[in-house]
Amino acid sequence: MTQPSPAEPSVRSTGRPGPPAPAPGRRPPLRGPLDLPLIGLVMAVTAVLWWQLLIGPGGSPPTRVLVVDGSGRASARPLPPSGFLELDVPGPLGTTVVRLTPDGARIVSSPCPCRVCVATGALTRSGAVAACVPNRILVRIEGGAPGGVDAVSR
Amino acid sequence: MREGTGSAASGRSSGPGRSSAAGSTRLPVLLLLLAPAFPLVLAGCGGGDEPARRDLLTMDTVVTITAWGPSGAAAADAGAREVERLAALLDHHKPGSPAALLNAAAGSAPVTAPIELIDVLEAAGAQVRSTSGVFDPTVSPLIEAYGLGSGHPRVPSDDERRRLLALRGWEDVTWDGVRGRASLGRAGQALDLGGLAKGYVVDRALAAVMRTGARAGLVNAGGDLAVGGAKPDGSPFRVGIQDPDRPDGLAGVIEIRGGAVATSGDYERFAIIDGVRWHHLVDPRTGLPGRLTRSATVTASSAMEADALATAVFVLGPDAGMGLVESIQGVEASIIATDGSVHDSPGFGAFRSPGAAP
Repeated sequence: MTQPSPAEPSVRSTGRPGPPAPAPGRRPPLRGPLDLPLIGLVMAVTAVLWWQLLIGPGGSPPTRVLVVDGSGRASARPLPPSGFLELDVPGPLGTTVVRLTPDGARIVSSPCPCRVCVATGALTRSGAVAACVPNRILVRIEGGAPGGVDAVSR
Repeated sequence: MREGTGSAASGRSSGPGRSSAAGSTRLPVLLLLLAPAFPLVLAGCGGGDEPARRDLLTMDTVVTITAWGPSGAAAADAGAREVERLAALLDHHKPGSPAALLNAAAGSAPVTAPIELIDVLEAAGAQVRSTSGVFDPTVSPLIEAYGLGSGHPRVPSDDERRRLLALRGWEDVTWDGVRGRASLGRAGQALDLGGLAKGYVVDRALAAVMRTGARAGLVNAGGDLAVGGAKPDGSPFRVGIQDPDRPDGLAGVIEIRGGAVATSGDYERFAIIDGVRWHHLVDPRTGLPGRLTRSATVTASSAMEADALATAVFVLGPDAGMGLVESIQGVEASIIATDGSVHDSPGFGAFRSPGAAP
């Protein structure tokens, strides 16, 4: 880094009429060949960040599932990167089967009489919950960035 | 880029007389470079203030208590304790609860009723009157006859339906708040306070959450929910409305900063018998499930009111249901009709999130 000289020519070289020349020792903004692309890049990044923060459609996808078994014991498992994984979750009525997929989870079979838990279908939003109340099983999707909904009225 | 280096160097090396001119030049550049930091900082603030959450399986559903703020964990615990306390009093499926004992003693002497049960009975009476009997907990014996929660659903015969409808009658429900007593006048009668009691529990649990110092709270009992306070990032609470046809889909999103939301739909508790959907939202006037509506979402100041009105609006359908909503101050509704059309009350649009369906 060198100390600039008032006679340094780099900031006044066109020789054509134009905006007033800057004071000596002062460089006008937006004169370098990369300034405008840089500004454009910064503005684009800023716009994307604001969009994600304010109106992003649902944040990033969920990453894990919390399963509470019939005895009240909770365990968290990561969602599989591909294929599916089935968990046998014990409860007072028997075994409830929870299927994990890369997108989320669902209860696929249950010993309960009404099967509301199976009818709940796939859970793919972070915060979504399915439960088998008679068999005391709860499944919650977790992880992922916020930006979706805080709750679902059903 | 050498120019940039020179400029920056010149700014740092300038004497006092030139520093302000150089600083004013750098200010826009500095702001520009810092621009991406603002959303990152805001996102970081929101993400760093994770709410405390508690789930309970009670009252035939999942109750989730969410509390934000430094006291969030204690507040969520307080909400959970309140839910458990009230469920033990008001869940008529829970053997030995005052609500269960009231049903078991129908037609005989009054039973002991704690103030919480009296509160719910009074609120139920008000809703029976305001809905002209379309919301009526005394239709419970007929709903039970459909067997929707038993694993053996069935359609009651016309004779059975008429016989069970004859047991309906809110005028047979009496209570004495001073003595703490309540009764059902005729043997065979029963109350299904489920929806209304859930709303009551939600309201009381949210009050406990906020009383314990939460900055914001959300209590959700199977989709009947209430919110309070302000979230740390200042954003409103975003509430999805269940899509009747897609279990994991949303029919829309609304944004609220307080109050309650409840939805009644034909997709939650139903059975398909001979190709016909039989669900639990029975019209007390006919004894048959409401056929005009897929779902009715109601916003109100309390979950108890929203819950009762969602049931009534569902049964009444788009035309009469909207008439009821517009007659009650502070209540808005959105109805998805059987033909898929969406009907919003005049003020409901203000809640809809921009850009969200429909």
